[in-house]
Amino acid sequence: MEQFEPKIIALVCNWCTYTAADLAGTSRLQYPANIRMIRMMCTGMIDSKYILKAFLSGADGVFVGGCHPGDCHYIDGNLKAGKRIPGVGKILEQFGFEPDRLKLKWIGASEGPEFQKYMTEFVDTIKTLGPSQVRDRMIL
Amino acid sequence: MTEEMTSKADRISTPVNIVVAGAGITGIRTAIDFAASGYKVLLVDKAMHGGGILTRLDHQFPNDHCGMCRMLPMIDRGTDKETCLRRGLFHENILTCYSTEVVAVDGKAGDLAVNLSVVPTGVDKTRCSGCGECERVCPVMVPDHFNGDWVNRKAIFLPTPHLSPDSRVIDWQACTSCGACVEVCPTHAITLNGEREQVELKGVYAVVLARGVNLYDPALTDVYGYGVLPNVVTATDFERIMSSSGPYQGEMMRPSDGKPIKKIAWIQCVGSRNVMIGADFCSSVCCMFAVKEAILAKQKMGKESDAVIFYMDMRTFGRDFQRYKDEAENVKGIRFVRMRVHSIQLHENTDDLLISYVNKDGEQVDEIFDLVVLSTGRKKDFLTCDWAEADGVFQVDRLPGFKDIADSVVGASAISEQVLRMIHQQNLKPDKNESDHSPDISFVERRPSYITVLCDCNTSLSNPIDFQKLENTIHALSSGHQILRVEQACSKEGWQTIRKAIMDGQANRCLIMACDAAVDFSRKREFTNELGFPVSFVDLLDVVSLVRRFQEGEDATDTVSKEVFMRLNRLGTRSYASPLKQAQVKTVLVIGGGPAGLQAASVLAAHGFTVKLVEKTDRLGGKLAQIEESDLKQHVEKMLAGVNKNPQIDVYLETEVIQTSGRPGVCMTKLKHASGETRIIHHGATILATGGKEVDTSASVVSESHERIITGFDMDAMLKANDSDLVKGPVSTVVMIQCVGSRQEPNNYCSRICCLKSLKNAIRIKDLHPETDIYIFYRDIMTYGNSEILYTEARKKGVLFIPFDTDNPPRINMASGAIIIEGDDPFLGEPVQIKADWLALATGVMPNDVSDLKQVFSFETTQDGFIQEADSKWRPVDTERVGVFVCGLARTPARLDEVLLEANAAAQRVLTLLEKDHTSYSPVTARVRNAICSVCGICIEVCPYQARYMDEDRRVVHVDNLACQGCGTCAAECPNNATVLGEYEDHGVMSMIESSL
Ligand code: FES
Repeated sequence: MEQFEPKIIALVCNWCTYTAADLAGTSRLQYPANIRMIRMMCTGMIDSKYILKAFLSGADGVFVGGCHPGDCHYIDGNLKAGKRIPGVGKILEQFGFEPDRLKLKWIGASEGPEFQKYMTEFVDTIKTLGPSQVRDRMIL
Repeated sequence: MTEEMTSKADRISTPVNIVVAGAGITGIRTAIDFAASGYKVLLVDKAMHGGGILTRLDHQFPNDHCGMCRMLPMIDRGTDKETCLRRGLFHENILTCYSTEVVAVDGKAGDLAVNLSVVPTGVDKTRCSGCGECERVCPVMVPDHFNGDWVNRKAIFLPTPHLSPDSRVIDWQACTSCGACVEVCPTHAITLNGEREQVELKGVYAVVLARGVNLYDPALTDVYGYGVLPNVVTATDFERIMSSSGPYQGEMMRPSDGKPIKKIAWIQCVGSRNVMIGADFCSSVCCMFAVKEAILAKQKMGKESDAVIFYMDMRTFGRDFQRYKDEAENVKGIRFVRMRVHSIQLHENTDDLLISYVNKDGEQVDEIFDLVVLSTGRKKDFLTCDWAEADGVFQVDRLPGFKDIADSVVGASAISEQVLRMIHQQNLKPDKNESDHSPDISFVERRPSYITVLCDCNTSLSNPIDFQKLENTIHALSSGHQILRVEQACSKEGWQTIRKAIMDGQANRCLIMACDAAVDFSRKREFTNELGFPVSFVDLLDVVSLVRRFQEGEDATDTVSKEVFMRLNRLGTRSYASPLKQAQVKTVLVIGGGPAGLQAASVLAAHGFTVKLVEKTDRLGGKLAQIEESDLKQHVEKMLAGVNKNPQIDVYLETEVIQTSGRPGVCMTKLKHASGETRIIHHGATILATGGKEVDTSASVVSESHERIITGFDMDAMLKANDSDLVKGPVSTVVMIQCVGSRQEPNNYCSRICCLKSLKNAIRIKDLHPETDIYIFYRDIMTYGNSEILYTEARKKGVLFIPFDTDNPPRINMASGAIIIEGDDPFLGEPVQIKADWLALATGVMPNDVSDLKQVFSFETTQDGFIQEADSKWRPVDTERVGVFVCGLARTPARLDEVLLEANAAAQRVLTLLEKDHTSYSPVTARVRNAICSVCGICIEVCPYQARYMDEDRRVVHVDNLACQGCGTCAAECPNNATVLGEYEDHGVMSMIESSL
């Protein structure tokens, strides 16, 4: 059987985390190709429904990356995301899906190696979890 | 305009209003100030990159954060690329040019000829795709100075890790001209000619000299074995060890043998505060720098680690620094040892380092460290240049020193203000912006019709892309999609081809897939302007960056197709609303008539603004009588006289502000006179200059008063009165006790002025009565910067300094009727008893009460009652409320010269907001769809900029378009989707998510 290649969406903030992703690229730090990166201005703008939408559209995992607490360009958007996004994880859990399919991490502008590491780890996690059932079971 | 010019012709064809020499924090700040007011700025630096020393640091004290991006414009956000400043400065009015020096400035302010000398980078940025092949093949290896010389780099390299676009530069000193890079470059972007080019600019209004400082090279003081002993590093180099973008990817390992670092020592004042080497100055930032490094290092090293700082005085003279240091010591376990380390030795046959010292109890201690960090400051000599004194040159600092970021930012904006004042007085105008074109509406409003441009450079990627498959994907979206293949999208011809195709095909949405060179911020602007497109209708996909994470040879078709699909979908959801322009009221409300308020008012009046100066008491001038520097005093007196006569300044004495409403640019505020009479004024911005006062905390050390126990302020006043006992003498012994009531809870901050005051008093007494014995009990003498000379002078004159700890302060014994001060002399290890004729207690300052104003303007205050700025490093004179600024003692303890600079800086921030007649706002701004808004108010609560308010009468929520910074939190939190963020509307984001899978 063909190896399972998960579909992963990474919603990253424009300031720190996107810079880290870019730095990972310039530094030639390789990370899996499965990740579709979508740049948002700040994690604070990541609406719960975007995450649900991603799962409903067939994502196997959703990664959210933002600035470290205190570093958010918009003062505390990341802290608000820090409250909101785990809530979405809870919803997933309530419906019987693995909460590990959603991950929130703070990645600073210089943390290219960390970006690579988190991405690789996340893809591994999702690979062990297997394909997401959200789409099939939630869309009737 | 940010693309670096390498040829003379290019440069001369660009109008430049202001040249800023020096692209460190100061230079960047002034450049942004000018750019925000619409002037064309050329920002140059001798170095190969901008950002100065900051590019090597990830975190700042005293919050361990970065936050550099907060310097970017908040008004007219769309003029800037809105990206991390470490990647570069991208503003439509700023052209950056590195490896470039100003060599001559001639003419008169307002019309200067400026000669530049440019070293080419060797790589044409407009062609470079950032593939990095050149670096791979370059055979030359040289030590990488950026990373402490521990690793090597090539002769063609990226000068800073984050640089964007990531085109390399050639280090001509290292380059052997072998030509390997030229051959391999797929876009023929490299020319091996490092010859300097001369460029002359004409009609420049002003030149700002923002020279930085040179770092001290500790190899010059061989006592610490820098360069000889392994693992002795400088503080800036140590930043690279800690950084994830550093040579060890943030692993705490030491350079000599890769051993994990567990124990580190910092040695302070290396190259500073050392009269032996002629360095009679303090570098001002190294103490806090060391504290920060120790905290971060300890975090990284984990348990069982040790961080020790060897110091002479811990100079925690910033408002929040003492608490930061206390926390480091008491909570984070950093050890502070007061001791000038005399040498470092190698420990046995290892690479470990041994420091021996005598501790507080007089015992000899040997400690072994994995690494020793030398807290090196600035070099003794200043960077000089011959044109510094020329007409039209504005120097940020005549006596440059190392400065904290906040002080640099304040100094920079203060200079911007002066430059703009000259420009305004000469009635000079910014060069018209070509990008002021408004898009052609009829065209824009038609149904989306797409064109995708594929640049042929994509075929030369190390990862193959199946173009046929890609085209099929695009056609699958709809058959109407046009596809254009061009040879070099980055070239002029390529550009013309694309333009023609768009015109012919009547497309109004365009996606260009190319490399970094073609997708540059400034080029995109130029392109959209030419086409009459809104900027958001053209998307540029940098394919090189996208596939960089792939292994070489791995097929990238799928990823690229998905990305294209996603981007096209997103383009389809874009709509255009012409930006609304808002008119501004060119009147400024200044609250507080002390030196800060007077300075701000006079400066703003000089720019042509009307000022409403409101003062609570019945007179202006604040604590004028206490000003001791005669030149500053004269300055304030002159302002005072000027303000009263100036028709542009309306003074309201015995008046308070009781209510305000409106938005930045247009506010309405109610004033109330002591008589009860109220009036309403209209203004565009507000400056809070409410000042502070001396605080008499003598009671904390003396229980009863005594006529010869006075404060430092009193002593100063007595020394100025010729008939006072102190002046007349005889005086046999004077004792001073520092930090009375300061630097410990509840007033746990350094007041900044008391050490200077005591030293000046001591020197004056010694001058009057050389035989007088003077003892100063102190905790840390805070003679930062060049004021260190006062400390040296006092010691030379025989003033004795006795340090004490907070747990063992000197005691005052008046039982016998005489004033006896008892303490412990740690140097002698014995108790001391001194009978004093006079005892001066160095009491500090505190802010005036602003609790009423806090209600009116809803700003925050610190626990000590200072007004909290928006960001203590990067936005020191802004409050969190856009359009309300703060300066002087209201914000932080400061010397008078610093207070005045802050007032200038605050005035500059007002200029940025109000200078233009109209201000337009970015499309990425939130708005409310009233029809579905339930007026729950959640968005008002979560907005970090107080950009939202409720119209109670109409029951609708409004958004201040200028205050809104486009973070989108409101949209994410709105339970009804009634709030939407421009360019990030739900349907756009959703379609992007859907199509990316
Ligand atoms: S800007 Fe990065 S999380 Fe807010």
